[in-house]
Amino acid sequence: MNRPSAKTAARSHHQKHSSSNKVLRAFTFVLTPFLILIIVCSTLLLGLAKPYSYAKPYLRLVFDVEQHEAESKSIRTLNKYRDDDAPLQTKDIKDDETGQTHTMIYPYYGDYYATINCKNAGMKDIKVYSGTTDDVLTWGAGWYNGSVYIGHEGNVVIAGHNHTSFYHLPNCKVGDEVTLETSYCKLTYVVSDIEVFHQSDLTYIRPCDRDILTMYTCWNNGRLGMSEYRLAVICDCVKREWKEVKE
Amino acid sequence: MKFTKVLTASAFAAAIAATMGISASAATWQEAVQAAKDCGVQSHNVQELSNFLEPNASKFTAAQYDDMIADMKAVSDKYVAPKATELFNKKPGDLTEDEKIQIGKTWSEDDKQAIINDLVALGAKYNVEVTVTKADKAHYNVSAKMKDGSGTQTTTTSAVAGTGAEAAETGAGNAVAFAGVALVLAATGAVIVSRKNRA
Repeated sequence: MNRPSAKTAARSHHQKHSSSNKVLRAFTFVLTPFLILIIVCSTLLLGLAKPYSYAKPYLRLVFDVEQHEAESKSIRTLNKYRDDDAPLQTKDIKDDETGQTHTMIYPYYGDYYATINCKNAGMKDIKVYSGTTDDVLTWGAGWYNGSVYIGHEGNVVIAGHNHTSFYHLPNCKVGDEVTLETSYCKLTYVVSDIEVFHQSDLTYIRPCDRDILTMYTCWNNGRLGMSEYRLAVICDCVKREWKEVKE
Repeated sequence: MKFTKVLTASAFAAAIAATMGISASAATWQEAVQAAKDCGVQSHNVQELSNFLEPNASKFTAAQYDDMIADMKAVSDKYVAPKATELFNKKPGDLTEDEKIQIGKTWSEDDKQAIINDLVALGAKYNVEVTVTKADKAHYNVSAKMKDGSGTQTTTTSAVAGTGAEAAETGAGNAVAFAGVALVLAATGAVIVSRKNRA
């Protein structure tokens, strides 16, 4: 009886396993990328889906690395708009009505300027920077430099993102107390109006005779995300306190 | 186009306001602010000028102020006054805010660029660095900084800032990139397998 030799058996075994290896290699090198393609296409479809677009701002709140890094840097490092040794800009101003003199400290663009608190709305120690460019608004709320300086009579306008600094702004109600504090003064306001306006409407950001604070953020019917509309919380000034400034 | 012209008007006004700042004080800085109003500058841009001048008012001479007023009026006479008369039969200082915006909408792209060039040159004449950049098709950013100063005093962007979370991206671009990579990998895999099989 002819029995297959050990060598033949080994060759046969090797050929069988070589075929298996070829199949395995074909699968690994050719089919895996197509599986990746299918996964990517599925992800794309998911990204195009409306529910995802609504959820994205919320996901960014949790996973936004850029925002978290901004918060960890020092204020001076953040402000690219001024030199580190820029002199303090101060001016003594006499109040014609009271005859008292107080000191103003004028911010450079990008400086940390003020802090907002509204206990009832859950707004605590909201940092306000000077300016409303995109980069400044990533640091915190922004004082619009086309509005009066904080402490002057008129319309002080402050903008903030609806997913970060002004997340709680929609919680403000008429009658809530809001404080706005700088290094040279502290103002107390009471919410008097809440308005929704289109971004092309400049009515609420323009100077006016009323002594008010206007805070606004994007309004997307209660959801986060970009919108053509803004929610404005308008507050009347009820108290103005000047601080002693030491240079 | 609407937003482009609106914001170009704002950029023009803000640049005028910014360059006005350098020539502070003929009489007082408050008079410089009033002059900007009389030239038809939008109220929020006038406020920017006021905010620029108030901390810097003591830095400039009366002669500089007088020259600047004359230069600024020349720009206004060329680009604002004719339209104010034609469209509304008013002087620039009597225009309402909406009328000022309407005038801005009448400017051509060449007009806008000419205004920008005039105002940057004006700033250079008085040692103020005026920078005008086009942020997108509807927005111009204008910033003003004293060349011997230590920081930017004012920057004009869109009057109403974008304050929402970033708009959701479709991911189409990233998906195409991933798809391309996947195809390359598959092709590479096919080549490797075929070579091994031949071997």
